[in-house]
Amino acid sequence: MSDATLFGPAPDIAARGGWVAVLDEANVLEWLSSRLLTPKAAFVKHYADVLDVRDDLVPLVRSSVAGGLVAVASSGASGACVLVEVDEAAAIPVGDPRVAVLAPVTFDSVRALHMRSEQQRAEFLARRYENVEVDGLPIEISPELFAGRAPGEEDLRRALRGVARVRTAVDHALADRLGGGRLMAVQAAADDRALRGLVQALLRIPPAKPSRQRARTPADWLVLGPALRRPSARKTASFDRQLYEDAAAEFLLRDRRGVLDPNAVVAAVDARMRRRATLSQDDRERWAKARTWIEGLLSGTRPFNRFRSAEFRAEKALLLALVRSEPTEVLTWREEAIGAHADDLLLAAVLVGLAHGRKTAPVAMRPRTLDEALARRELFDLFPTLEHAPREPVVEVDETAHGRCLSLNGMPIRQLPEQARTTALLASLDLTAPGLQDGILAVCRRKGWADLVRTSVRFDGELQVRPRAGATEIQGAGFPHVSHRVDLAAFRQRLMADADQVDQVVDELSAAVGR
Amino acid sequence: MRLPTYQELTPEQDAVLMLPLDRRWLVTGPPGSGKSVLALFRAQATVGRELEPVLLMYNKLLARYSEQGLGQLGVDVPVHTFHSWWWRFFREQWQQAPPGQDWEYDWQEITHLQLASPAARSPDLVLLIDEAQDLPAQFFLFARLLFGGLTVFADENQRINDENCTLDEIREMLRPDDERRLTENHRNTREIAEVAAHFYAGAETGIPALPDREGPRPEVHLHASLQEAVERIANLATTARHRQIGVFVPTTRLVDEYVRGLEARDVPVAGYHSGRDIELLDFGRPGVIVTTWASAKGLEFDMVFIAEMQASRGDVESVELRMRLYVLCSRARRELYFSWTGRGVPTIAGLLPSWCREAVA
Repeated sequence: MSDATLFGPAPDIAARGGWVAVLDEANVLEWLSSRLLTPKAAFVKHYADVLDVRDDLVPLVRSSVAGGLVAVASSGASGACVLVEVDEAAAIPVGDPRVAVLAPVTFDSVRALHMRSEQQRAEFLARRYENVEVDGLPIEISPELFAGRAPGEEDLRRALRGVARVRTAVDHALADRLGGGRLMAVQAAADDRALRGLVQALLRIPPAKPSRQRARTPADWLVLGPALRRPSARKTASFDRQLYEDAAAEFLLRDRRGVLDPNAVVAAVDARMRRRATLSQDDRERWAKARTWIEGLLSGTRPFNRFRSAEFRAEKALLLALVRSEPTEVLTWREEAIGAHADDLLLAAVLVGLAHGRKTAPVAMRPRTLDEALARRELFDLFPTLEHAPREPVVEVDETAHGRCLSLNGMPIRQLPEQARTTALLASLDLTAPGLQDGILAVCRRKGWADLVRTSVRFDGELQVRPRAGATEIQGAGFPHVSHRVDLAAFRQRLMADADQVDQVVDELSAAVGR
Repeated sequence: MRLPTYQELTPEQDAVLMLPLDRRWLVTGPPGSGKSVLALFRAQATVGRELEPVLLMYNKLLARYSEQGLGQLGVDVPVHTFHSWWWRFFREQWQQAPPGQDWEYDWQEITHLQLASPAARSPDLVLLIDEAQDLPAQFFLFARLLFGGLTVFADENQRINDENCTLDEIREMLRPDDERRLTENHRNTREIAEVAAHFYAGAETGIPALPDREGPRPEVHLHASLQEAVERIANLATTARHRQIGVFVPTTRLVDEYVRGLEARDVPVAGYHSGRDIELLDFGRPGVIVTTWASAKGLEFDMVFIAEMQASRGDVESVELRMRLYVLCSRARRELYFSWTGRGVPTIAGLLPSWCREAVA
């Protein structure tokens, strides 16, 4: 397409200035909420502007000719237009020197937000929303850019006619939901040795291929990619993983404008679980029991105070996600002694994140560095075949003046809970208290701390001892008397050193003492 | 109080939010259309500018509620009840109490005072008035003359009694530069709004369009005794201990009984009726608030229990009782429960939608 057919003569004059997107002021808020410079197809709420020209891409024009399009983008609630100037490198040429298409980029590619007046800036900054960060924006007052000759919407439409339709691998809403799941995983992951690895895996571009090693904990098998829409029927997958995947598929399907109906979700998950050919009879019975338990709690016929078992179980995560279905709600479980396993909390938070998405989450939960990393990761979901700069995020746990915090690429992204409480609790716990021995043994068994336990087996009669298949078999008449003795000093030391789930173990033991 | 995200505000709400603050606006809308939330957002938009915002509410409960909503926004804007603010303002202007008796002002006398010694106009003062239908109509005439910016939110359907003003009276006195009407329901789920609509008994601002957002269907609970009813609420409140729960009962005696029963079950609870201390109420925190049917107006909760319905003394044929139930139902954001205790089905149950009655049967 020639310049003359687009904006008329004098292309040498018209083609100056940076590349800008001509947006209604309110639509900038949508970009700010996601930190992605998305086309209209990604918008939850859209006011008329140049994004109407094509819903699959973001048209750019040279700032010197943007004035003619301002009227197109000034009919929204504020009646004000913003020219969003982007990096030169983000503009993809379309054969006309004054028109380009924006590459898939994050808000980091924005060079300036041009506004018409100081008053516009003041009005724009005065309105605050919990999911939009407006502090520190590069706003410039550039009234000269808002006047100009009149290339209109039709001219722009014509210029883009030859540009092939842009197709994404997944729709924008799904990418945002997956981003919500990742955000919540970062916020909810336990402060343990697996924390850094989990966060790195969630933010890495390109994502690592699934490990062939046997997946044991949710951190090993946590799936947060587009495949989650259609849960796999892997025979080797554990009950917990299968339940998580079915629940995740349901939370992804949920209309986020609505209120989560816990009973409807349970029924839908139940239908999925029943269809699974990979579930054993034991697993089916476990799910049936869990369903009855969850429904009893949801109906108010019984109270929920704390879990009886401290073990990780996906049905506990499902219950937590159902009764605390808002992002800020589910994260506060950590502060309450409900006897949940750290992985229960992690999976519950992920489910809630999948139901809500990232861009509607409060900005307080997503510091800019983290949000930018999550936005880039979503771009990979949307355009996996594009060339993406590989990113291996640097995740650290830092000691700061304000306590321990998780940092990403040197920037703090999450304050970690104080460990002092746990240490104090553990120190105050009398491990010799009556009734505690069974609990301590259960912890040793679950954590594989066999070296701390001395076991005695006593038979009343004669014994036969013989080797069998790499072990030793003891046979004798009658019933043996089995007793265990735990090295309590070593147990306490081991527990102190193992940050993994220490809170939960201490809570469990404290509750046992209370009983 | 849960404040909406940018995406959750609708274009008609955005339009109200963006109105210039230094002019006079009348914003009308039915329950749940976001009037109180927009009043808070507009108060927030005054921050950092050379304006003096004041948020006025009719009753203490709503004032406390809005105060805590502003706290959530991190905004320090004064919130007053109409009477307390008007008294203070009057004393400052005319060094005397406003003439009148029992909160009924003598507007003729006030007009004479204004004519004899006109109060100074305050162009920077921005008044944001919620539930304006409960204020005396003549006040809007004075407000128009004295203050720079006025945003008046009103809903005729929620008038406390017939002595309060109509929208036409507000229009006549305020002479707004323009008017905006909110039509959509943002508070309730579709299921709750449908039940509320069943009780609606029509007025000018009408009933909001049914919302798209879906949620659990309202439930009817029958209990053998008050203790059993309290137990059920306590169980649900313990499971949903992060949620804000409203329990509305017909009498002040029942408020006290429910508060005692829930306290005995370790549920965080506060009760409110005219004889109780309002400072005990914290709308920013989860827990249960028990209040009377008459005090529920303007509030909202995640879960609402309209309890002890058999104790209602209203005439079941009356429009007032239907409107009362309409207002009570529309307080619920996520879940709604009706309940009564004792044997048999009370007459008031006949007002419930047929599917509720069938569920009971």
